[in-house]
Amino acid sequence: MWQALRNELHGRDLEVVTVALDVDPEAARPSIEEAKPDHPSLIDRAHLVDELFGVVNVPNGVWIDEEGMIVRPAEPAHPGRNPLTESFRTIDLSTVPPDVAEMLTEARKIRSDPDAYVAMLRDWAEHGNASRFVLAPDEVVRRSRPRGVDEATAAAHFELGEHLHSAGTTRRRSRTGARRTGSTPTTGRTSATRGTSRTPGARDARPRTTAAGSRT
Amino acid sequence: MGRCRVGTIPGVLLERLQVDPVAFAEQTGWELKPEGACRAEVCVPLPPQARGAGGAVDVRVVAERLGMPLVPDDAHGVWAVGPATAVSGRALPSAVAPELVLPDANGREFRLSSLRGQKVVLVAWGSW
Repeated sequence: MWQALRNELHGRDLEVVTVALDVDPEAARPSIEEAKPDHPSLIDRAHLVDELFGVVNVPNGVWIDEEGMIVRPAEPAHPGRNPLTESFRTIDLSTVPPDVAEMLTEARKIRSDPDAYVAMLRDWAEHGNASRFVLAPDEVVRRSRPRGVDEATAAAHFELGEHLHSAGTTRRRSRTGARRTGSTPTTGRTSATRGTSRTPGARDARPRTTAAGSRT
Repeated sequence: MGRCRVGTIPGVLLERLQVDPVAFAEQTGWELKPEGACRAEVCVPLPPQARGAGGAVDVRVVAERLGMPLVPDDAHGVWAVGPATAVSGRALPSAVAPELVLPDANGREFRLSSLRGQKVVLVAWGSW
């Protein structure tokens, strides 16, 4: 996957860091161990990269320059061709049935996204911040995923639902769950480390019974 | 399929609305400094009442300034705090890369900042 590209680009001070968004590290481990990567291969159970970098889908790539500035926000990322797609491109069409040849001809006309992303990375490795694919900070923020009040409120409701569900109060969960927006696809999740921590307070304030200013 | 949950940002649960600033920073990523509430080199000024007796953070005041939804569950005495929306209206408050600390497949902790001085392409993937 990414190891081959990393090998090519690492000599130009470009490192690949993969982050597996598996809830269960054991699900990711076989893939990582089989790949035997030289680069950092991390596991993100609580989906920190969703919140911190605006990752919304997989596979997504984020570019960070030498000074620690994000120069391309989360976007679809591909490591390049794999043997299957490569065979589509290189197979001798005279050796396949006509209908297959026709399909492959059409497929070859489609611009290949794997090629484009790799080309961008090579350009960045070559030209650094002079690369035309490096974005200015304002543009990086502008292109990052929108996070409005509805989505943030949905996140808060979801957290309540998860907490109450794990505390055994399924009645409330269905109510809070119904207020999630459609922008948060989820089929449920196992425990996340951030969900149920207790925060020490300076004084022992009791919860208010009036709404504490939730926004919708 | 399975328990994948890409693109859903975690909220934060609190049992009180006056919290220790260190705990608030650990949970939300927003540190309280003299300049205000700060994250990834963005600082939002705060009114004096943001800090209560003993230096505790008044979550209602800070959440208001940062556009964090504050959702009460009165029956259970908790609040859920959503992420900030008033800074950029985007997932990124600024283009400064936040610190990321995660374990590798062997459980060893890795810090993204350890790669400062190199270009990094961070790739999020799922094996499902």
